[in-house]
Amino acid sequence: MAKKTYTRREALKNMLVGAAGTFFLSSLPWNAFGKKHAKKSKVILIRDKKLLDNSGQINNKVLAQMLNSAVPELTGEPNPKSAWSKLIKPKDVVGIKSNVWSYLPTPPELEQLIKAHVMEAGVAEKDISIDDRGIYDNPIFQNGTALINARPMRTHDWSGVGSLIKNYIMFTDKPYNYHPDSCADLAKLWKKPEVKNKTRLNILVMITPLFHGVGPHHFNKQYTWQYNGLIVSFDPVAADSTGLRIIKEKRKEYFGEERPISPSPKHIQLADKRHKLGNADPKNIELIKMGWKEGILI
Amino acid sequence: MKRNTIFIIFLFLFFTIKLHPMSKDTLLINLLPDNKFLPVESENIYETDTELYDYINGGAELYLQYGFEKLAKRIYTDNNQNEIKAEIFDLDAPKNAFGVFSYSMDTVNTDIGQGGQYIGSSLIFWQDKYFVSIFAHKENAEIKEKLLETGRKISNSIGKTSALPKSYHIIPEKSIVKGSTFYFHHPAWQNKFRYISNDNIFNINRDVKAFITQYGSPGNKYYLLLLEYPNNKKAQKAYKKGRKKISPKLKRQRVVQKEKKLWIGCEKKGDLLLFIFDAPSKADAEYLLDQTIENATQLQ
Repeated sequence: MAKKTYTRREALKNMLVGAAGTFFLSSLPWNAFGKKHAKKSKVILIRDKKLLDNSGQINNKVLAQMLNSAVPELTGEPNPKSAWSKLIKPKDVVGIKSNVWSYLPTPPELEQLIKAHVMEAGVAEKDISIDDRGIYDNPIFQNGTALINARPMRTHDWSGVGSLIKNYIMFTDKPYNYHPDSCADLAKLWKKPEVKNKTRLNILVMITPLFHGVGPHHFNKQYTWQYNGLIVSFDPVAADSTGLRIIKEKRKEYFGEERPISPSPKHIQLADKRHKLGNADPKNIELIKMGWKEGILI
Repeated sequence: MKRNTIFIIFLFLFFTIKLHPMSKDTLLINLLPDNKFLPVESENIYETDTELYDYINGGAELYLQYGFEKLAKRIYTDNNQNEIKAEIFDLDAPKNAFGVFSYSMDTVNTDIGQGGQYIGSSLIFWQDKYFVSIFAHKENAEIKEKLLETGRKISNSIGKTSALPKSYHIIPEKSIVKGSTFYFHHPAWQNKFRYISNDNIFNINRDVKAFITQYGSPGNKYYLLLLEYPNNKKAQKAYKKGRKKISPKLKRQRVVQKEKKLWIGCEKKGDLLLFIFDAPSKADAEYLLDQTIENATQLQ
């Protein structure tokens, strides 16, 4: 076989193409390709003292500023527009997976901000849907090209916590199939064809998290507090793991002693160890804290 | 003529049945106060797992694990348009009602039912085979009194009280954290007070009655895990497995010192299995083991 020879110009050209390709691939979210473990997962924790007014209502302007700071920081882009353009392409069909739990839903203000950014990235409004309970029958979620996952964190009677990982349970018509062993294998949901490799962004809402529950509806305002935060990451496991640390610290502070979450929210650890969905170990999480630091807990 | 009569009777029956479908059993909902107490805004009865799943978004599994039979709900509005939601669960057996209550509560601070807690505009209590929850979104003195009054009325309607399984009554009282005993029969809840394991190391299932109780004082708590198996053979199997997982040293000694100078212990008697966690001294661990066994012997 004849040995191919390169001129110096050809070799230089090949090197540049290779370097450009490597740069492009490395700039995308690692889990966009279903890669199992980046060395470290970047997680942005952003808080603002002025997010809620005296009556507990969200200040939309402050929320917008938080998102506009967090997403560029996560993507490494200089501004929100270029950051969202990196995440979402004009031809994408985008499902914004929210959570409608009546006591602590994904704030509509956040849903609308995400939608506005997706539209700004060039996606037609008809190709965007915000949904929770109806996603199993929603063509945008079933056949879409991109997902944005946004929900509040709260303790939960069966899975330990309601998490970003768990938020995709409505992608099945048989949620109870994921209930054994206190929802240990929820990360399997992320391997379903309508989900796999489609999530462009995860936002764990930590504005008024629920750190303990009581009664059939597992809600009591007494067990929420104004943390005024958002956790933003490409890695749902790293975001959940970070949120869980905050909830655990709050329980310690409130109860004055270690009080394990029961049942154990082990689905987060297992999403890492068993299902390789992302990083749960804080050692493998690059946590970037932005904004208000008082009472940050971690 | 005769044929016409039969046809008319058939039509009558058909429409009667169609217009009045078989109604749900109203015995349970009748335990909740009616319009004479407060205007009833809405009411509902949930009888199947699916109905419960649809009603309690995500939280149904707890009740299904604890023998869910039926749920009745009434929503009332008072003169100030405050909404009060009263729910009563029929959980088939007193141990299940106690189990759900003991899972949910942090303290026992009302005398309503056989154990009750009022905290932040939420009253929960258990009585006989029923678990009751009464909830309002707002909290003030007037609403609190209304919630407690609703609870007392429901408690009176239920009327009778029932005993818990025998193993509950052998739990030692000395140094106990009052009202802290938690009953369960699913391994998911074995870590309620203190992390034990993510695995089912004691072979806990629906046939096993498990109680975990707190002792000591805040910051220095220790725990008794008491398991009652259906027979000696199953208790023996769990004894071997659990002992090995908690500490292989327990094979040779019933009480051993672990990290932070705290003590763990283990004992089996017939169909009963006991584990002690985090006892501050050897004597405390041994006392709990000995006293529980003695109480069991006396009860036989």
